[in-house]
Amino acid sequence: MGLNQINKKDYFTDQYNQNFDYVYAYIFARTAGNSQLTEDIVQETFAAAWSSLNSFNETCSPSTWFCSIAKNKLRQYYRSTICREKFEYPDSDALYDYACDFDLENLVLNEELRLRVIKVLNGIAPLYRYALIMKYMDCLSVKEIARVLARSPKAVDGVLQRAKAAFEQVYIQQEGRDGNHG
Amino acid sequence: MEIMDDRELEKLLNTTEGQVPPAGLKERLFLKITASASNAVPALTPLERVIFEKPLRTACFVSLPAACVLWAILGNDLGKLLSGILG
Repeated sequence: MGLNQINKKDYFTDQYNQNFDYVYAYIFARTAGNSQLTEDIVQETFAAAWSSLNSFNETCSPSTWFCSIAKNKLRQYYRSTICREKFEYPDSDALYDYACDFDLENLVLNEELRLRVIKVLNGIAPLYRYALIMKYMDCLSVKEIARVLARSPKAVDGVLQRAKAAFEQVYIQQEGRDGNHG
Repeated sequence: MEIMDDRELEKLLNTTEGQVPPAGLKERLFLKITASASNAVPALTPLERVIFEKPLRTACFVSLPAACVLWAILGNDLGKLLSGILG
């Protein structure tokens, strides 16, 4: 693209303003509502975009480009989390922050349901969470998921089945808990 | 236990889309990103980049005048030139 420094900054600022909300929402949904992690990945995504802006040749839209960078950052995060085999439940404060950060106007849909889905996603293993996100939010095929997770398609089929079962189990538990509280 | 229907699961997961960022985050992150970018210093100077990225070409450019200088100093003698290069 051959942008000089001033044009580069103007162009980046413009694209940043146009795409920030979209990229934030994209990452937020794929980190299962983890605000801190979302903030970190959003920052890393735009910092990487800024440093490689000269190589962006506009064969795709800037939003697609930002999302592909974000996707790689998410992949790195999930790979390291899955590799560590370490799983921590988010503390209730983080979920409370999430609830406070929520834009009330956007909650016409169903705030309770959204919060419950986020809690459920946080309640299953990172491998299952990531597999479900790739399958049902990014609409990737089993083969594509297998490539990302470096497993065979057959193994991914098994992972997806177990992930669905785990999601449903935690969802029903959560539903019961929420029902008792309400 | 019967496993949840695919479409139902997809619908549930997609309820998490469309989150609005907290107020002020956009501006705060922009400042962080641009500040870190402007503080970044290039790792190599242009000369160092030529030396490390094209070492063979650099060696040729250096050795040619050095050989000429030695040829002139050592009296246009190939034997002396070779012994001069070898030290």
